Amino acid sequence: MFPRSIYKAFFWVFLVAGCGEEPASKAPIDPPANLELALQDPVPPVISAYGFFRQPMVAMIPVDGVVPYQVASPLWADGAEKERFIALPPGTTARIGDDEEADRWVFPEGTVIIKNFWFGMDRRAPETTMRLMETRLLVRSAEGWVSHTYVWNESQTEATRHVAGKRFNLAYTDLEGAEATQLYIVPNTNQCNHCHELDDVNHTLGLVTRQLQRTVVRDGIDVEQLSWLHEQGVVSGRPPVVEQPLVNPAGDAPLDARARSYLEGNCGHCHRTGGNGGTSGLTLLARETHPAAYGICKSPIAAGPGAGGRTADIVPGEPDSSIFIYRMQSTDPEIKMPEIPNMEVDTFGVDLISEWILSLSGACQ
Amino acid sequence: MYCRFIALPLLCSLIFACESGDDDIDSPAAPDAAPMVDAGPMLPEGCDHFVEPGGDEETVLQAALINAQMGQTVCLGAGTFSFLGEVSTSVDGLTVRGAGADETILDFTNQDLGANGIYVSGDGVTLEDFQVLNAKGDGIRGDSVDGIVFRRLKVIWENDNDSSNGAYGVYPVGSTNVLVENCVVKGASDAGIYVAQSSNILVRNNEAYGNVAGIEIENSTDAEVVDNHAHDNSAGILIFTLPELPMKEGERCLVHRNLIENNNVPNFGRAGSVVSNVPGGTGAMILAADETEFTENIVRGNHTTGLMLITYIVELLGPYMDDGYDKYPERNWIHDNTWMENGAMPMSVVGDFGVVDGPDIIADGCYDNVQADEMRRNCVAEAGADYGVLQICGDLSYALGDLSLFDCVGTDVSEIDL
Repeated sequence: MFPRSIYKAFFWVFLVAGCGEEPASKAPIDPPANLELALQDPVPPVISAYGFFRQPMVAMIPVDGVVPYQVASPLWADGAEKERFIALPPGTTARIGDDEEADRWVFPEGTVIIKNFWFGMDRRAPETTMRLMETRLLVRSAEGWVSHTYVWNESQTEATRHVAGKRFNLAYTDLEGAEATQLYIVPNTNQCNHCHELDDVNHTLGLVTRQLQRTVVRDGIDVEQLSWLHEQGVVSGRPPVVEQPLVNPAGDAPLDARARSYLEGNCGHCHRTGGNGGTSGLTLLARETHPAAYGICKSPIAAGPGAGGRTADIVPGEPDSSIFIYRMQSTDPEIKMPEIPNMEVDTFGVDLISEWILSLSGACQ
Repeated sequence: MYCRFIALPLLCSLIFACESGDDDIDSPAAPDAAPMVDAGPMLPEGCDHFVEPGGDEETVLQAALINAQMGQTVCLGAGTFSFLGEVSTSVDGLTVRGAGADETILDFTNQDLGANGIYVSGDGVTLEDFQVLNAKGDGIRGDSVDGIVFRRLKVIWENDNDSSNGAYGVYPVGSTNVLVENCVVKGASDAGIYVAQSSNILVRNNEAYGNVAGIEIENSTDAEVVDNHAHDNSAGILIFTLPELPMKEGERCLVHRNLIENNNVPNFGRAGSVVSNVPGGTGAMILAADETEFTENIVRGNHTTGLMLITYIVELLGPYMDDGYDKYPERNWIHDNTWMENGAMPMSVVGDFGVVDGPDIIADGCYDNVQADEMRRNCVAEAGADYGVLQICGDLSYALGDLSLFDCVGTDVSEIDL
């Protein structure tokens, strides 16, 4: 595990040492984050230029000033594991938003949100067979959040920027020890924005209090993440606790909360007013209280063949008659949900939402 | 867990195989790149970027669309581009121009990712002179944009009457200032030209055939559908207002000077969609929409009927939960059209009602079109048309009716200037 002192030192060393006051030297061990490069046009062609991670980078050990965070209900990404980090410019902090999305964190210009995607090439021992696939960045520019994607090379020494995406045929060993393959797709820049856009403006998705208000393990101890991030200096003031945070869909919260959290984490970025699935009329945020708005007995107006002959998004008690399940189970690009970029069905999600629909009572007219 | 001490690159590379070796460059300089020109004598006039088919054409074209600057023109050479994924553009003011709808073909036959062939999210985008072939889902979707032009495009599914074809051909949704002109759309398993939840719309001079619905304007306001040829679909032109959509209003659509003929393909839409319930053989249908003006069209040879003026009937079209939804068609104004040889062989639910000799115009008996109710009543002035009433809300009977019930003068709807 990570030495305790390093966590404590994160932010303060970052402040003292500064970053980007002068160009980074060529290949230092544990270089400071060259955050300001993220605001250049074009941004660096390789991930190492930023200095987010110690060498060897593939271990994903962040340098001081690059702070990890976790969300309660993550987006399924074809089974990839994800590691998330925040890098703030020197002397700055995030604050809590005051718009209608009151628990959204607001970050200063120059902030970079970093997300690494990796697989265990032997699914029986993922931690020792890690293969980094891509690192996605969201950069807070003067105009708003800008997305960039870096694809890791085979030798795992460097990641190169790709604007148009990339396809991988991954060969791996499955949980039974058998050889298996999967198609993994790195999204192009437009596809990044497709999920992050709300009314044509990019946002972060996970950095809202309702996703961050959870327990995380730091230094081997369970800590409350909001307090921890505040202690790290990431956010000014301890964020007000929200009444209905999202929960871990695989945890032990009540079924309804787990299902609604899953749907928000996996569908709510598009299926909400202003989102790219907003025209469907579905609002898959956990706080939505109008049953038809989150799918109960909602007819498939413009779902086209996505309806699969079913008459409602959710038919209480009947998962097999519900469009949600039909689309979550599909790999047909015209039918499947989410539309992009997944290629693999999230069987955990299908089971969870099926169980939830089965538990619902009532009948559609 | 976010930190790991493992010794790794070697181990990883032993078990890992990737599609294209260590080629990690997606710039046009890559050895297998398709030809792309940004400057010099090879750049066609009026183009800022020029991409031709060949090599890694999907990556090169997608990168060109992402890297283009606002207001630029990306030109596509003649030939066939093949794609596995959806092609998208988000740059405002971009023009994407092919060498002609029969010359530049964007072939999505092997598509495995993305619910559209082309996805447009930038404002003020113009798409012209190319063809989208066999998209796995919708052909071209413009989503929540202000200003979009579809011009001289073809959106084609090669299979005839195939319910596995994509749903919508030309598909602007949630948008304003929409122009669709001189396009050809064939084979959509829902609607060929489908304008949804939009406003300020002009659809002119297009040909739509072989679709379930040729042209559909849905939950949209201020539209003009003019000089189109909608033929050999299941239904020619649909003006719909449906429940449970964010855009509640559907009003002021001017449908005029269209040729709506021989829309007699049995409905091949996939069950579950609203459009799959429209009887084949329907020339046009106004469903729960308000203030449509339907005039100077030629409506002929449609086997079920020329025009249906219909309330949203749950039993036929499916349930909804939307308290704010008005299911009745109101203040529609149908006049001075040419009606010929409609209703020869009513199909589907209309045939099931026992209608043998279908009329030019069918209404339902769900709403009493009383004279006094000027805020709601529909007006019809058609000397040469016959008319029948399906008592869908009553005893399910059918009878030829008297158009004098609709004898009033409606409100003209303005043309759209874009």
